[in-house]
Amino acid sequence: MYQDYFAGSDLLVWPLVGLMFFVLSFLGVLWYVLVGLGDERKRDHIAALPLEREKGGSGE
Amino acid sequence: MAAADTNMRTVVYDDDVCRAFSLATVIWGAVALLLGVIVATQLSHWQANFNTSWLSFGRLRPLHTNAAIFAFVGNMMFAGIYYSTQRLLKVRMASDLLSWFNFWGWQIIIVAAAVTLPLGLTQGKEYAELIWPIDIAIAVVWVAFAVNFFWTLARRNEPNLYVAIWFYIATIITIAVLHIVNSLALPTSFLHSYPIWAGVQDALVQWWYGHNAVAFFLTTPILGIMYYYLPKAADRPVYSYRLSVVHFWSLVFIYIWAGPHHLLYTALPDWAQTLGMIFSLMLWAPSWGGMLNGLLTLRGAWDKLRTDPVIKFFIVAVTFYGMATFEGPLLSIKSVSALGHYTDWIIGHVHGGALGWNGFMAIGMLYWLVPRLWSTKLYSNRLAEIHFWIATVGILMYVVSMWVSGVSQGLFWRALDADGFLKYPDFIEGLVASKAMYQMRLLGGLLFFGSYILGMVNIFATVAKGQKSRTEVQVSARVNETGEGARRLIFSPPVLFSVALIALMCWLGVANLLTSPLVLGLLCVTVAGAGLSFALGRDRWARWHDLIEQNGFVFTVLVLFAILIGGVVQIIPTVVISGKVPSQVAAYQAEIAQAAADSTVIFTVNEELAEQAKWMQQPYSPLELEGRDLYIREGCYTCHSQMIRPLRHEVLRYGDYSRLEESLLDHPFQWGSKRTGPDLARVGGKYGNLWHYLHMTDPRSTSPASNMPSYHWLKDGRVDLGGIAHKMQTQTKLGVPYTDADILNAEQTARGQGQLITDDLAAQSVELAPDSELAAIIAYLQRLGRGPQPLTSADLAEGGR
Repeated sequence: MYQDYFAGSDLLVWPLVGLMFFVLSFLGVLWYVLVGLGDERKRDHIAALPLEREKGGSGE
Repeated sequence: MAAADTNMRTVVYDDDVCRAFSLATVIWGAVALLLGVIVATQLSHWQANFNTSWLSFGRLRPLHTNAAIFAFVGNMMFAGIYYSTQRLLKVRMASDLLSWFNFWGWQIIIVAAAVTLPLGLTQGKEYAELIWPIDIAIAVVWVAFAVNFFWTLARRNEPNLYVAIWFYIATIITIAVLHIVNSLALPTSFLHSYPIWAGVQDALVQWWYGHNAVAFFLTTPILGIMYYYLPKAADRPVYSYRLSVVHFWSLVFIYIWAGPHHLLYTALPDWAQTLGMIFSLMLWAPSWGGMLNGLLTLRGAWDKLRTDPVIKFFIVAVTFYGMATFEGPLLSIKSVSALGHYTDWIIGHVHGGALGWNGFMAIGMLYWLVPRLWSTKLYSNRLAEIHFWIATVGILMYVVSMWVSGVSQGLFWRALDADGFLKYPDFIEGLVASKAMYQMRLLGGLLFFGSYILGMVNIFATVAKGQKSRTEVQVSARVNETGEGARRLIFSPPVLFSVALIALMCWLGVANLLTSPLVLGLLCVTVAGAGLSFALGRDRWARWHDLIEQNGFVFTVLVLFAILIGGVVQIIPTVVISGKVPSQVAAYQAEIAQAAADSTVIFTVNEELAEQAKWMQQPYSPLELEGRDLYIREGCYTCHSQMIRPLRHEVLRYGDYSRLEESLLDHPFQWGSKRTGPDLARVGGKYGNLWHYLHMTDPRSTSPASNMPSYHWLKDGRVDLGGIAHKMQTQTKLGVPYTDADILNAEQTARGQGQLITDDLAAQSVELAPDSELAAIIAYLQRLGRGPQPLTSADLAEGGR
């Protein structure tokens, strides 16, 4: 059946390559989060960006 | 990255466009919910179709979904993005003109949808029903929005991009890609087109789009909004910025792969189904990471949950996000999907997300935003509290009733007796059993809608007592981005080593027995080199994401890359296979024909190709093609599937399971996603023409408990027989093998087939015109699951073509 057509196709390697790329990227992001964002001051600065006060509309 | 300039400058934010989008959200939200109440009423009381074509369920249901997604959530998303982007980037939107073009363009698109869908002008693809001129308008307005956003990004005064901005970037890029690819179509007129995709290709592309419309229109922008507005409302930063980074990249990368989970047990190749299921399960982790990050933002401020209605709405919204993103992967497990697919369980799941997550986030955001945009306090916190509790009860009633109904339907359909046959062979019995739950759903929907009206009153009263705010801030001006940051990033060790590793992995994928050891050796050398580079320059490795984060262009390219991978590796193989199937079978059939004509030709039986040839779809006759267009116009796919899964109970109920080859010529595919009525894949020949006539004009005459609308207007409607040839010509350009003679004789052939049907009806004392829409739709229904049908009296005498 054509449902199984790709079971033996070379093209099926690409989803596996994509999956490996994801694993690699994910490890990179984890690395950044654990090491690159190790500076607490920097982290706090970025995390506090939405909380900066402004003049104008009430309640800010 | 350019150095920051210490000059201070004054920035006045453009809040006018935020106000306009906020009010549009409020109004379109009411319309979407009202439509929801109407279609829920139609499902429990068929009389609510009012025997009127433009009020029938099949036409209003797409309007309801489009209104909820694009009008309600769309406007809310724009309001939230315009307000937060300016503040997070500390700059006014780059172009007021583009902002207003975005606003008015979007409203015109919504109005166009509201006019065309009830008129039956549709492409017949779920959540992508709008006709091609509106699709082009959407693309133009979206590009204007993107240009304005990225232009603003380039002019920003804040070097760091907060995570909300990341989610907005992912939304803008991905929706553009999804919309364009899924909407590719060849017009036959200003109001009609056929998608370039067909059958299994169309199914995969459609659900790649459909699933990711949920992901990147209803989830990522709203997550960005959550990351901005929830900390604002709680007055404390997000619980874990680190977690938000992991949340973003994981979600963006994984989501795009999960589309095939909508097609489990269908004729989609098994490898794609498995891939969709695995990536759906992987989504559990980032989704729950995001949910916990949202909930824990309230650490130390949980007391606000008692007093602040905004926090109440946000927290329930995030909780529903957690519930929906738990349920989604659960439903993607093949054995669970076998039970839940096509049932009301999916409807419950969708509304948990749409009303609970999107709806509550929208309302929470409006209650927070509107007082600030009009420099006042919320008109009534008490009213907001009442709104919250009624809406919560309403949504719980809705979701629970659909869970009960859905699981009951799934169990009902699959129930077998002691002899292994269907315990409930009559489909309608399941519908009757769901009636009480349909009433409960309607009540839940009414409560949600009623509470929303209270919210509208509250918001409009707030607007009436306030006055438009003008927000002005002093910011430290920043010199615009140069290419330096991008160059430093591209030539940084992590990027260079990553590119090398990816290239080698790709090479490994296509390597043979001889080259594999070489590639593996190179991989080892690269990994060792990366380790050495890290040991010598740890700082350069740690800063790579900073460089990405501070460079909007590079960040956007990486997001585009991440979202393209999942789509490309699934869609391209499917396109290749679908192209190969007909040509291989056609070549085999030609070989058979030649062998039959010339006894000297040696013919080798190929069992696989012979099996495929048996199932290979033949083009529709002109009248059947016209009937199919009417089937799409009336939105029959909203209640009927055309895909029999290879499950015992389905085969017993509907016939042999559906093959991929059977719908390769269907532009668009009509596999469907819901069975309020039975599957129609093999309905052809199951009933006589008279049964179909009676069923279409008065469904209760053949199925007493049916909730199907009457389609009596099809009796009087006429098919433009002269226009069929042009439609067939368009189909040939898309690969449907009509011959010149087929096209030349289209009108005559259609009239002849219509006459056969109406002669049969006349013999049973029913008068119908051969060129009536009803004759065309009967021709189409009688063709489903069968080969070419008689077109003339001679064909009929011979028993077929």
